[in-house]
Amino acid sequence: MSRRLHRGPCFDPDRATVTTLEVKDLSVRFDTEAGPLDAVRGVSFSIDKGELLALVGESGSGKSVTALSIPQLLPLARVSHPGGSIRLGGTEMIGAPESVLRGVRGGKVGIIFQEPMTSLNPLHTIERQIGETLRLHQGMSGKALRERVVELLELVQLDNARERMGAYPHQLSGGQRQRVMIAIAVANEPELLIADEPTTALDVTIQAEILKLVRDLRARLGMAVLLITHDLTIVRRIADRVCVMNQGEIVEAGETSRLFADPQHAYTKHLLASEPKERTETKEDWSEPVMQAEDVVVHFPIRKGLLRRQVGAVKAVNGVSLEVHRGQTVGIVGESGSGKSTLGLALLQLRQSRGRVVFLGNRLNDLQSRQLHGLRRKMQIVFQDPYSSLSPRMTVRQIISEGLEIHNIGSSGADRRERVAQMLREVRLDPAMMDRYPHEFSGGQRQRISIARVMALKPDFVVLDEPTSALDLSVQAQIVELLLDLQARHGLSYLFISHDLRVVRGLCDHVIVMRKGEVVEQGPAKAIFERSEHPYTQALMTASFEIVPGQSDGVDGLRSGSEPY
Amino acid sequence: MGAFLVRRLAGMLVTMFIISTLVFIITNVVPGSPAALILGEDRTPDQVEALNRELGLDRSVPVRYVQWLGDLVTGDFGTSYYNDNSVASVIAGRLEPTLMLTFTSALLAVAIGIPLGIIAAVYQGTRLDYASMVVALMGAALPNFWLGLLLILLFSLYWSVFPAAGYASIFDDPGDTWRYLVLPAITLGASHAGVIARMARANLLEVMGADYLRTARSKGLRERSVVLGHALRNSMIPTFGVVGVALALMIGGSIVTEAVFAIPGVGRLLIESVLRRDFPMIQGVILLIALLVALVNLAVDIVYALLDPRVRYA
Repeated sequence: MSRRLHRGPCFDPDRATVTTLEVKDLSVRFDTEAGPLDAVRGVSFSIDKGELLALVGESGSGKSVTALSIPQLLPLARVSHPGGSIRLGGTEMIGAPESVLRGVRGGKVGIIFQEPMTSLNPLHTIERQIGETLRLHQGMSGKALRERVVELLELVQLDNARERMGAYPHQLSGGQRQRVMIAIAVANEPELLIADEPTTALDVTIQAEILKLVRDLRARLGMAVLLITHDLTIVRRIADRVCVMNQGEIVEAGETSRLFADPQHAYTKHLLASEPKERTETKEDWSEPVMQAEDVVVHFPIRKGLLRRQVGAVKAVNGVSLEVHRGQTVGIVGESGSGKSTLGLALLQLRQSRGRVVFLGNRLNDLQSRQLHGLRRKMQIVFQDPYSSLSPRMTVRQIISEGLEIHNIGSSGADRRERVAQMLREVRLDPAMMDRYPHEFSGGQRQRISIARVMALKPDFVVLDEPTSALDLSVQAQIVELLLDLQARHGLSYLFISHDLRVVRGLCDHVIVMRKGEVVEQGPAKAIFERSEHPYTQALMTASFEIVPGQSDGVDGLRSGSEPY
Repeated sequence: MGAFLVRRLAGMLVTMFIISTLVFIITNVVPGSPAALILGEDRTPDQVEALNRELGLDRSVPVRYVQWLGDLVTGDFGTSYYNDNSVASVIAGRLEPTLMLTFTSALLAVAIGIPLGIIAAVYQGTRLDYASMVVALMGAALPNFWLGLLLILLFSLYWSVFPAAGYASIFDDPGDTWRYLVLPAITLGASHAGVIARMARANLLEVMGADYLRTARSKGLRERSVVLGHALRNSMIPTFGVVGVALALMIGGSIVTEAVFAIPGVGRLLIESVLRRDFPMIQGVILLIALLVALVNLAVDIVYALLDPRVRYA
């Protein structure tokens, strides 16, 4: 079996390179109700054997459409190629018969998708899902099939591979599912691996492990890799060459180091400029506490057995204390499941908790809901997902003025309308759009609406729960800028919850690192980012800012083409 | 899985207790004295009082309630006011046609509804899809008493293919039973076949957009294998919930169908008993129907667990 893993001549960059994929002048047209839409226009690139090419762009740039065109996986009924050619190992894909394409999919081309949570069939065991592709392309069965599945699971470094074979996807974590996905993709040792945002949905530390795995497998199996991503940090660390896409076209292409050092095209420059930057001016002394919390505890009961008796508790937040001062931004960082969002909800009394929470001198735990109601105006929250956190049945005006009505702000309809218009101007949206519905806006615009809704109430304290993580890089930068601007003008205090240390560095004065419901480390942002003491914080930093651990020699070594294995 | 089953069974017992209490309250609170009805127009107040005493109706409602619950637990459903037969034995004698009718109708509804829905979903937007959905809509929209009469008119009166009324027990005349079941089963099953078809189509279409089907296609599977091997079972999970509801509705719906086709089943028994103010019998039939519905729900829960590992390991 090991022969399969080390088959053939290992790729040797010193020899004449072999082109695995050649895309020439590719166009992709969608038939929409509004007429034909050219999603991709005249895109050309090629990938050599063993090379990792990154296709970078923001949402809607056409990068995923380009990738899915290669094995012709776009829905045929609505998609056409007005021109171009896709040659994989010398075979033309466009117009190839289904039987050829079926051999390519899963055989010569393996694909990893973005969402590990939904990309596996929930009703089949992982053994069956990996086995299916081996059965299909190599006709394997019985014991040989089983052994090969174990071998693949070990190859993608899934712990206890043999015991896990019978597991269903819901029994695995996101990172583990993505490993299974990779095992499916490389099962038949493809010539080309397409990784479509393979780490976007994962925590930073898991992200680093998955990227390392992709990098190692490329060397070990001698595959060409096409990496689709919006994350420039990933590209910088792992890609040999980069193609930057914008609005269906490749605007710039080149060696990774050259492109980052000396971008030529305006869009590339704009994209690089959108990367979160370090905050320049920071204040050290804070004296006016707005929100103080002591020993906040949130436990979720675990019930088991016949009578659903409580047998334990998930300690989502376990004794966290913090202070947020006027005009200060406190960042809470941690991976999924660290309890950071639950803490935010508990502070606002949107989630039952124990401990002491004092807001503007009021002990919130002691207040009746009627008394709490008056204070709610002054403490608000912006949620992560601008697509699902706004009611699709309400106009923007209704969404923003609802809070005004609840708190009896403004006297008449006309007055409230004027306030809504003013808020929209403040978040830099056109007030003329106030009678439209959320679906008519882009993600960034919707997040501005969410912010306007909160700011209309003139709060003192705002919890920002991952407000930028669903947004494109350049939009993210604009939202961060808007938040800083509003803070400066209104003296707001923020609790900024995020898993993205890079954004936190650009926005926060004080940082709290959480893990499994507890504070691991906290302190002024500068101190945390420059000389963190706790190993967990250091691991997060490494994963966020270096992406592939130990990359400095590892990746560069691979790039320059040293012996891969 | 074991704890899951025990919990569901316990829940079923609670449901049955609540239903039996409700049944008792309703039948004992409605006006209309059974004694007066049994004795007819020429009754005297003394005779009514004597009969009330004999039937135990002179005691207070709480005492009767305790008595009734105690009897139920020991399996005694009481005695018919109408002819002194035991309720349990009368119902047992009427059970077969009703179960046969419901079972056949359910089979028909599933056998027609699910393939129709799948075809419509696979050929979405084509003429086949529209034709399937028109058929499904017609099935769902026709009132079943009217459909029953129409079927009798065509297949019994004009063409004499199937008998118009009655029933032949599978124990006495097994070769003939199906002839008596065809028309009533179509009548009772048609509307549910329509509803199931529409749900099967909608659920399959929803699943067709799932990420894991893209994964399946990326493995190089034929579209046929993608649909049959990956999409279908996933789409069947919500569809099966609808089948369970349909089955429960069919148990109730058999009352009308049995009346139209003069089938001597439990539904007919219920109608007769209501007209006779035969309270013990009414209570018995309603409890039986409730029990059947509860069993169907239990079966649906078990099928869910079999289909979906996420339920099984929860």
